[in-house]
Amino acid sequence: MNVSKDLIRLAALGFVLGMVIGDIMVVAFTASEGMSLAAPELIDEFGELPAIIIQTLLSGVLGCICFGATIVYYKDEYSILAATCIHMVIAFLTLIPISNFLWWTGRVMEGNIVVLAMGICAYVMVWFSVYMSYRIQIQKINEALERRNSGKQ
Amino acid sequence: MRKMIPVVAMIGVLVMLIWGYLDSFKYSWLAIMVAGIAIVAISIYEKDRQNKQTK
Repeated sequence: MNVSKDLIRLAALGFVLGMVIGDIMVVAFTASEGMSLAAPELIDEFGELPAIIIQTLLSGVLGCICFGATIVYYKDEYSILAATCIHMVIAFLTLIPISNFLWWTGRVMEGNIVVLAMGICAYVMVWFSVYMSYRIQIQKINEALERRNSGKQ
Repeated sequence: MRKMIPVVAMIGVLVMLIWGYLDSFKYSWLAIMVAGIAIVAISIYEKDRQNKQTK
């Protein structure tokens, strides 16, 4: 596996998808206030067009780092738990400053704690689903090997 | 088809920004929503195609 080539490919894909996902999330979360493409506080701070451009680019950066960091799942030397923890730390170290800057969490400690708690729950689910998927695959391989061995005898 | 995903995403973002710049950002979020729906549709189609191939 060519790690650097894969990393660039994942990061580039993450950048474009991050821009779309970030904007959709903000539109969804501001639905009650009339569908805005950026937090009202950010628009007050920078003006509408610059705020939306800044938010779109920073969402892209967030997607780029989070998607790029999924490379840890392809490294054989890390267990699923270790890979999930490394990805979680990288994602949180990027998400917290960006979400504060973009006013996603209202720049208050409670907002950050809620994001952290939701993130940890999401990562536990990710770890569990990846773990179960590998477990099922290994079970299928073992069953196939058993069938093959019993056929030979 | 899978390679279309980043292209659709970029087009969505560009249309949203140009629409907002030329007219208003009041409804330009529709462009990004349409791009998001298209990306999800392509992903589902590709996943379905891959599942059929592996069977």
